[in-house]
Amino acid sequence: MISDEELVRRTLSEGSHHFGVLIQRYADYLFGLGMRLTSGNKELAEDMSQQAFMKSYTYLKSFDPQKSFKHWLTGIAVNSFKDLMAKENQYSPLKDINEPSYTPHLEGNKDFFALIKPLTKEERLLFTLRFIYDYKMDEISDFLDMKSGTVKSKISRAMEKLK
Amino acid sequence: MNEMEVLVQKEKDTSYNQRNKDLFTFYILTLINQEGLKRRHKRNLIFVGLVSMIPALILLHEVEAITDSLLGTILNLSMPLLYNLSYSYLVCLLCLSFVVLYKRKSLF
Repeated sequence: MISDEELVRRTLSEGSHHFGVLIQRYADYLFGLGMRLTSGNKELAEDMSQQAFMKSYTYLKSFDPQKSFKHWLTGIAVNSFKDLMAKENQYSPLKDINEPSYTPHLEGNKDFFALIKPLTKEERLLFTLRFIYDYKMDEISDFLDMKSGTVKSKISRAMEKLK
Repeated sequence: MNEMEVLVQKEKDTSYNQRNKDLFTFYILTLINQEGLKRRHKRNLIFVGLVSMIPALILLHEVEAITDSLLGTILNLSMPLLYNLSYSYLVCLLCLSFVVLYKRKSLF
């Protein structure tokens, strides 16, 4: 099996068709991450995954082959999720209108989504990365461009909420 | 193991699959190529714009002469015309008012 780093090198030198292999390889992973971060919203999860792949291709030259591609892609996906949420909040005044315009079709492990429901979106993100994907505090702080101490305190606050 | 740990473990064991992975890949690659084409097109447009400005830059030193001669021609043509028009208008107005007043017999 060709390594991710080799595929990145080939994409940069030979063309975007090599990137297709990377998309195939990480489509499920990013979709799963999206589903967990959006509490089972399939459409948003796909949007996040699509945006993450597009961004990763745009900034592929900045990828450091010494580091893991999956790790780098996760960072991009997390930021795509934040962008999507910011965009969603931009139109939040519409929620004040009583008429329901769109009801997302939710799927996945409903018990887990019910568990993390009391958390804010940021706390859900931190909780998922820490306890579902087992990322270390340093890695999470790297994804979110936050200090490690801040990540730690936010996660412990989230845990307090869940107890 | 408390309830939270059980739920977390259950979620860890859950796998999510992107539907129509081939189609999804094809779609992303199409978007990527489209973006690339858009960027290339924009670059070409800027290049053509810059290149087409070169003749204008070469001609720039003669712009003053061209403007002067054009402006001169316009002024030479338009000023007598404007003068004649306003003069004729005034004459007509005077004649008309004379006729009107004469008909009302209020002038003399």
